[in-house]
Amino acid sequence: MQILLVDDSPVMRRYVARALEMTGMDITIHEAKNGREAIGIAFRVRPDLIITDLNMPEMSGEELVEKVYEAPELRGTPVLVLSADRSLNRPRELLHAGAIAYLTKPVTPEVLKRSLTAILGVRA
Amino acid sequence: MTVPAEVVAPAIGQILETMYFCESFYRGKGRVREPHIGTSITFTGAVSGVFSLEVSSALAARLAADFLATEPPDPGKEQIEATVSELANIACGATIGAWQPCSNVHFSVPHPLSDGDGAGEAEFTHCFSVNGENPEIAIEIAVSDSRE
Repeated sequence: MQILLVDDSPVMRRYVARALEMTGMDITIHEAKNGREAIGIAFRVRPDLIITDLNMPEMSGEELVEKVYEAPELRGTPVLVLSADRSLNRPRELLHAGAIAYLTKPVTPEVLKRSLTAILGVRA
Repeated sequence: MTVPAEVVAPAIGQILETMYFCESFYRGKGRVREPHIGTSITFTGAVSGVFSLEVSSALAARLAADFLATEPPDPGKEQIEATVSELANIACGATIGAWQPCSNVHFSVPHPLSDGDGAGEAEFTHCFSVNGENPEIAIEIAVSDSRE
């Protein structure tokens, strides 16, 4: 299973990667530090799931969600948004743009694991 | 306009417990009187202003080690600074979100403050301790504009 982590914070990528490893699933993790880098990796590896932050330089998580939805090669790839942004409309906007779920930080490894299982389970 | 302690204290306490595995104690006004690492985030929208956070270097190293589950010689300086930036990012979103739950606010990426080599000079409105009674985390939320 290929999972693409997108966050400009290297420590947050590591935190999420560790949580994913704790699921015990057979996962290959790819990392990108912004949406632009993520798009390049996504076209190359065709991930089963993208987990992205929103607030990143160069290309934000919002733009990434839109581009994944617009690209025929990537359409259908579930995108989980993991952000500190608790603005009222943000989850609705992201889900409307194509994200499959929106989690707010702080988030525990257990919550990440449950979300991952639910998303990939639903998809399967 | 001041973000009240009733909002800041539980928001920060939950973050420290959930993601950094430590219990914190709210200390009110004060400053970090030891070498520290600082970062700030600008927010705009229904409310606008600057969220500033300072963490003592010693606590920052511990938070980074717990957050990343690292063994010595890690966490390195860059990892510690990145951990403080991420703490500020999460703390800013959680605090503003708890204070203005029905609003839309945009946040900048964290910007490092001065090098933090010296003792803190400014008094912050919200301080927390983790080890002992001295403030080790200081937060100031300077609200410059509110449309609410």
